[in-house]
Amino acid sequence: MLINTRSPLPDTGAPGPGAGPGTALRPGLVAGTGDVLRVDDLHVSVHHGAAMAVRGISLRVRAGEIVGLVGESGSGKTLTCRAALGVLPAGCAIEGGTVSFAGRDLTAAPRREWERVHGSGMGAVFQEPASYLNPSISVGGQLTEVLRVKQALGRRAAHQRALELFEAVGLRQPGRVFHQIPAELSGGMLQRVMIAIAISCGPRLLVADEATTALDVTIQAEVIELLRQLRDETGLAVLFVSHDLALVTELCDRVVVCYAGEVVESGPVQEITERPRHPYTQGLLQVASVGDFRRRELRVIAGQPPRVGADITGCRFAARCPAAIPACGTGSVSFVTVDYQHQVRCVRARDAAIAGELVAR
Amino acid sequence: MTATATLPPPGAPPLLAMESVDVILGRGWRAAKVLSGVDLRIWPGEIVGLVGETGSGKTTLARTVVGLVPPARGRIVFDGTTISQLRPRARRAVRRRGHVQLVFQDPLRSLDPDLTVDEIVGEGPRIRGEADSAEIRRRVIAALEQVGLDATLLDRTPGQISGGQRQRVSIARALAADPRLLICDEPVSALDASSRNYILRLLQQLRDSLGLPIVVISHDLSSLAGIADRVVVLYRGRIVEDGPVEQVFAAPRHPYTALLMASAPSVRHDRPLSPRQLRRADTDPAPPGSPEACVFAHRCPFAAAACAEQPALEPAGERWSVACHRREEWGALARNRPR
Repeated sequence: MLINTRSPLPDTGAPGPGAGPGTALRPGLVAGTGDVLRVDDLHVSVHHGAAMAVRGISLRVRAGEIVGLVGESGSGKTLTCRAALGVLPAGCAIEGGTVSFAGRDLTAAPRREWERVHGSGMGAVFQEPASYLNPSISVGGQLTEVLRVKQALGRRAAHQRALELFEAVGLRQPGRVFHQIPAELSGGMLQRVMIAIAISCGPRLLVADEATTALDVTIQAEVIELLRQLRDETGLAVLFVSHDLALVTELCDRVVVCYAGEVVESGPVQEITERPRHPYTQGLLQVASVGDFRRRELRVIAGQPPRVGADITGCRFAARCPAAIPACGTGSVSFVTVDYQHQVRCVRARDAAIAGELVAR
Repeated sequence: MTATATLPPPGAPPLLAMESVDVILGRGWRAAKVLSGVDLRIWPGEIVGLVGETGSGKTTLARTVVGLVPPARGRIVFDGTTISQLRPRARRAVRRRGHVQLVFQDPLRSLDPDLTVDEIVGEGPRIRGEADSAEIRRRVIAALEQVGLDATLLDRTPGQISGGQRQRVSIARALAADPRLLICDEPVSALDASSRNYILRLLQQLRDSLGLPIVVISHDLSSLAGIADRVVVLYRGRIVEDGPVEQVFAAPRHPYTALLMASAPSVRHDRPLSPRQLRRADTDPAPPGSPEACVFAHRCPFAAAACAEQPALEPAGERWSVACHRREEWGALARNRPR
């Protein structure tokens, strides 16, 4: 494992376990929190092994927890969640590390094991719901198909359960929606149908990859509320992948920030937004739509992310970093704990000047 | 910043004026009214943000201004010429002059993947045969420089450059035509936050250096607030609010504008109103169902008997107009609803 668990900073007055902002979980759900999903030191290659796009990403999602995975395109966030789901695109392969679901290592498991976990143990929602649904079959038919195959429900029971699920995801008139084909529904309704299918077999984990990116902002807010409500009511764990840090801070309990195939910072959402330590996270917060409706200078992070699979000695963000020092270019940078549950991969992680940068904003 | 300096003097003629424009797409039973009674004016040197959801007619509005869609009713005057009354041949001639340029949402789909950057940016001037090839080449390089790209990209194809660079190429393509008005249709929704801000800043610089008026269609209200002078909110083909960005975003007068603002994701979580306070609940009284009802009534928790009739766009302040019967009352009602 790459996670270096050194003691927290002495001067921050780090709260003990259970007292810090990390306990953002709803009280009722803390009991029996095992890791539902655990990704350890994951390496994924693309282009048939030509380039390493994911370089040792580790993350964990506990029951009832919503974890946000943020990063620009090419940061490896989508490959990580695809690897977790066991649906990597052609030409991509897991080169190292493990993906465990409910304590069981899936990377070593046979195909049948993956298939059992899929749909039943974890559900997934992607960006364009229309492209994941059959355009010529009613959405109700597609949901009952899942229920009949995975849950072995009878025709009548499946129909009944489908109506309940459509109601649960906030579709009004479920009886009417049941018989409609995808083309007759709006984008927001289709995404609700996808969520209904994803949660139909009572999964413990929902993976949402840019699930609201293509939706209108008012509909996006409704889907976000739905995910939060599902978590509150059923204790569902959610891995929420997005490029929009503002959106992630709205929904998630914990945030994992990826850059060029590595995790550069992770921690409770409040820690990340109020005391970001990594210059990249600070940059993301400055460019995110902060909910500011005033005229202002729009900030940018200078430079481009490195090419996927580029070999860089030292910090992968150093070339774009305003706070880079010569030490950033030598040797690999370790992932250090700076506060309770708050970890950073930065040479200057303990430098007070870095920590103060955003406070002065 | 350049907040009020760009407001045109009152009484100055607008560059573009749309007057009660209706647009109907499709024929026979398929015919659908996509824009109804749109009144919009664009003055030289201003940045206008156009917001609204999918299907609200933002793109149709842009296509109507360019002349790709003829209006069914109303008048469109561009720089003194009534382009809505031109015959097809004359309309095409106006369009070919390229005074109004469109930049599309997804450059990967709107740029020809087989052409090089040089061919894409220089295509318009070359087709019009405006100048010899050396001169056009010079103009292509100048246009690329204006968007912060250099000549090393000239021989690349869209597939060989990054997403942010591609969008800059489409802006350079528009600039090469020496436009009087630039319309950007969702220019940043396919981009990361950092590239998004880069493009928006670039548009602002182009406005400042060239005095070019720009219409930015976007659903990201927060970043729009950073650059726009005026915001126009479209709902189901009707303008529901139109006013100076700072005033509208400080205190929106239409409940739909308020809903859009409340729904925008925010790092700070300090909204004056929550989306729930602005959304219809099942317990709210049924909205008026007449065909003439306000377009927003079916989603509006504040709809009353008066809303059975479509409100007109009426002045609510200086250069600020709103189409809402309850514009004075809904704010207090919203604050009393559960968050």
